[in-house]
Amino acid sequence: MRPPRALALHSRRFAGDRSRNIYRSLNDGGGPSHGARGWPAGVHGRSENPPSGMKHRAWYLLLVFPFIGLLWPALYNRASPALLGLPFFYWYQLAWVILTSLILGAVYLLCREHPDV
Amino acid sequence: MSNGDLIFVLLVAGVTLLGFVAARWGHSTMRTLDEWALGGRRFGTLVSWFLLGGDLYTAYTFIAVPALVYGVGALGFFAVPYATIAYPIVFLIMTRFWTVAKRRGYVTAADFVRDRYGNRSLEIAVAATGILAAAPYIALQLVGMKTVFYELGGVFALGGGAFALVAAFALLAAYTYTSGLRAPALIAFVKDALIYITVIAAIVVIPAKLGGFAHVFAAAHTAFAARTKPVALLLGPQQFFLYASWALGSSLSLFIYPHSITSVLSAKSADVIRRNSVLLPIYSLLLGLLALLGVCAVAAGITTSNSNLVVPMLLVTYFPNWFVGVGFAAIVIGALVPAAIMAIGAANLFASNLFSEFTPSRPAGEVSVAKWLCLAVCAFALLFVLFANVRYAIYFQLLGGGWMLQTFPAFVFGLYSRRLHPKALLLGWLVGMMATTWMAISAGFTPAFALHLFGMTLVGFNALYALILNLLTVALAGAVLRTQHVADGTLPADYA
Repeated sequence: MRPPRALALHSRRFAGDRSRNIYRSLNDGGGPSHGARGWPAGVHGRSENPPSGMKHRAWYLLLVFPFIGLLWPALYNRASPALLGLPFFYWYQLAWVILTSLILGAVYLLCREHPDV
Repeated sequence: MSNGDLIFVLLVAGVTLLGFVAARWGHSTMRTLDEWALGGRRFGTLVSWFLLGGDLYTAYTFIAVPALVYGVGALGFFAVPYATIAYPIVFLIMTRFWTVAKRRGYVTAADFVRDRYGNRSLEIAVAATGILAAAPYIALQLVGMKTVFYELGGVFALGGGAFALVAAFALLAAYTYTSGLRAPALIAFVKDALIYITVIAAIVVIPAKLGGFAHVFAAAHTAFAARTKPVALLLGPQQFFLYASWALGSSLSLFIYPHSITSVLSAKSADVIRRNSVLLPIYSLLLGLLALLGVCAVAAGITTSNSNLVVPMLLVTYFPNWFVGVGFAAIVIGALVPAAIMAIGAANLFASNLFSEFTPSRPAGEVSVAKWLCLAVCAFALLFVLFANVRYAIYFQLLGGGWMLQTFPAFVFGLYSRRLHPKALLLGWLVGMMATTWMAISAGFTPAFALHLFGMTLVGFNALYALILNLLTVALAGAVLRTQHVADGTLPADYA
C-alpha cells in the first residue's frame, strides 16, 4: 500500500482548477489542459474524479453492438438481399463500418465532460 | 520518360522535400525523445487523423487485402470487421493509455509495463516482442515499394527495382533521422490524399467498366468456381470461427504495435484519440471498397501467380498512363509513411527499454541513441529485403502479429488492474510466444490452426488460441504466486 496522501488539500485544488478549466479549455481546445499541466506527477488526489474523464459510462455499453454485429458470421453470411449489386455479406459489413463510427460518435458526445468545448 | 513516370518522380521527390522541411514544423528543438519521436505530443485531431490513417492503413494493407480476396474469396474480407471493431477498442483502451503516458512521460508500451509492475524482465519481454514484430512489417513495406519500382520499368526496374529502393529508403532514413515523427506526419497528408484519389477513382471506374457490381459478382462467382481449388464468395460454415477469430485477434493486437503506440501518443489530448476513433473508420470503409477490387480482378479475368500485383495490374489495365503514375506514387509514399513510424517505434523501444531501463526522468542523450538506432533499423530492413527471400518477411510478419498479441495481458490488463503478478504475466507471455510460434510452424506458416479438442476440430486464428493459453497461465501462476509487493510507479488518478 502506498502512504495516504493529503486528500482534502488536493481535492480543493481539483475543484478550483476544474471551474477555471471550462474557460481555459475554450481557448486551447480542451483536452491536455486538464491535469496534464498544473500538477506535477504523483501529487494529485486519489478519490476525486479527475476532470478529463468521461461521465455517464453506461453509454459505453453501446460499444458492444459492433462486436455482436460483426463477430457472428452466421448472421450475415447470405447473398440476398443484394444492394447495388453487392451481396448481403459485403454491404452488411460495410454498413457496420459506418454504424460503428456513428455509435462511437454518439458515445463521445453523450459522455463528454464539457459539452460546450 | 512517360507522363506517368514524371508524375511519379515529382510526387516522390516532393514528399522527400517535405520530410526534411518537417523538422522546422512547430518550433521543435528535437533535443528530447518527446520532440523527436512523438512530435512533442502536440498533434490535434486533423493531423492525428492523417497520421494514424497513414500509419495503420499501410500500402501493404492496400495491396494485400485485395490480393487476399482475389486468392481466397469471402474469407479475405475479414479485414473489414477487423478494421471496424478495432475502434471501440481504441476508444476505450488507448485513451486510457494516452492519459497515463502523458502524466508519466511514457514513449513506449514497455515504459508503462516497467513503471506499472516494476519488473525489468517484463519490460524487456514487451520491448523485444515489439521490435521483433515491427522489423518484418517494415520489410514488407519495402517489398511493396520494390514491386511498384519493378512494375514502372525503365531506370526504376534496374536490379529488379533494388537500386530505386535503396535510393528511396536512404532518403527516408535521412529525413526520419532529422525530423523524427514530424516527417511522416507531414507526408501523411500527401499520402492519404493520393490514396483516397486512387481508391475512389478505382472503385468508381473499374466496376463500371465491368458492367456494375451485380455483373462483377456473377462473373467472379463463375471464375472462382472454375479454379482448380474452388473459392467461394460466401463463407463455408466451417470458416465462421476462423473468420471471426482473425477479425477479433487482429483487432486486439493492432494497437499494441509500436507504430500504433507512437502515433497515438503523439496526440495532444485523450479527446483527440476519441474523436479519431470516430473518424478513422472512414479509412476502413476505403479498405472495404478496396477489398472489393479483389473481386473485380477475378471478374476482369486478371491472372497472376503473384497476387500482390493484382491492384497495380488493375490500375495499368483500366487507367491512363498519367493516373497510373499517381496510383504508383500513392503506393510508394503509402509505404514510406508507416515504414518511418515503425522505425521510430522500434528505435524508441531499443533506446528506452533495452539499452537502458525506463525511468520517469528520461536519461540525457537518449534521443541521439534513438536517432542512430532508427537508421540501424532501416538499414537492417533494407538488407533483409535485398538479400533474403520475400517469403521470410511474410512469415515473420505473420508470426509477429501472433507475438504482439501475447503482450496484450501485460499491457491492457495492466491499464485496468494492478493485481496481476508480473512473474505470472511473464510466464504467460512465454507460453503464448512458444504456442503461437509452434502452431504457426506446424500449420506451414498460415494463421489458421486446426484445434482438435473433445473429438471436434475447430479451425481458428493461432494467435488467439495462444492468447487463451497465455491467459490461463497468467491466471494459474497468479493464483500460485498470489502475494506481491509491486513497485507500482503510477497512481489511480494518472489513468483518468
